[in-house]
Amino acid sequence: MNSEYEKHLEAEMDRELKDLPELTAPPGLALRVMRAIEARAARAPYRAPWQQWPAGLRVAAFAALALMFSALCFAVWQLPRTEQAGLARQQVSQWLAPAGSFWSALSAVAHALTLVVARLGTGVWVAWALLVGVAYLVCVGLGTAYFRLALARR
Amino acid sequence: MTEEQQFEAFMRDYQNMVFSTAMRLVANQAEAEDISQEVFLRAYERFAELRNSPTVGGWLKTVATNLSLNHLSRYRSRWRFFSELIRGGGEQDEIDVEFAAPDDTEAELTRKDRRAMVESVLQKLPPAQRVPLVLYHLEGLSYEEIATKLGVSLGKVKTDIFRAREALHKRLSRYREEMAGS
Repeated sequence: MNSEYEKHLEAEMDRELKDLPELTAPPGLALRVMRAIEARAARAPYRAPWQQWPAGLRVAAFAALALMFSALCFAVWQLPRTEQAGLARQQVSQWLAPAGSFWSALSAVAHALTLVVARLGTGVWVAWALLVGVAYLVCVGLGTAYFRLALARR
Repeated sequence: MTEEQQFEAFMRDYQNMVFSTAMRLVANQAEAEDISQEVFLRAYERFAELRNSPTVGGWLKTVATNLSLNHLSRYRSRWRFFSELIRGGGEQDEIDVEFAAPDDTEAELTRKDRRAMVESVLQKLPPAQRVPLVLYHLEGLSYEEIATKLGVSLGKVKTDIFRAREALHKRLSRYREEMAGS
């Protein structure tokens, strides 16, 4: 690239661009902003972002959340020790019993698939991976060619 | 005069500047309007300190620029990818280097028409070229600052700005030729 040409180009474009006047904002912009300000002022305080809440409310909200979290932690710690928890566990085990047979069937299918994979051999899987890779590259190539042609015409 | 009225007057003073900054970066009226609204909502939150500040114009411009770039960054990976594709295409054609001195045709072309045409060409440039060009020539940022803001290499910024200038120059020359022919 010719540096003299670059300097001329920069100077010319700088002149053209700096000569541009400000664009005129749409006439409704100010009204739109004022409406947004009014809507913000009218909304309930709790709907504002947390950082904009009054300091007292923020402290109270934080304390309430901390209390709730502590209560939840305590409940999780204490619940398994109660009698009802043991009964509930038994009940859940009964409910989940049918799922056990489903799990056995699933394991049998997985085992069968593993055997099929072992019988097919590595060569078939390498060929399959190559085929997928080539298909992917063809898609990328066609997509690239399409966008190059489409954007070059704009 | 209530505070709301004062803010409205303040907004009317600066709305063209804020809108122009956003519009030239995002090249979309609806998006530029949304960005301008957000700029003024932020200004309203700090109106007490901004109203008498001598640097309020700069503050508004910076916020408008940053919000516009944030907006564009959502699509940046897309336009960066496409800009790389275009790089090898027709835009790379050698451009005739002509810096003709003002002639009769140029004189005939009113300043207003030329500005409108430059504005239109600017907005049709791909974002990968338009954004660094606007940041350099209109926002006064250096190549290094642009590279940092856009998260791209210095070389890419220089190349994109050069290509944008060439594209602009090419279209301006074509326009002048058309005017001379008509």
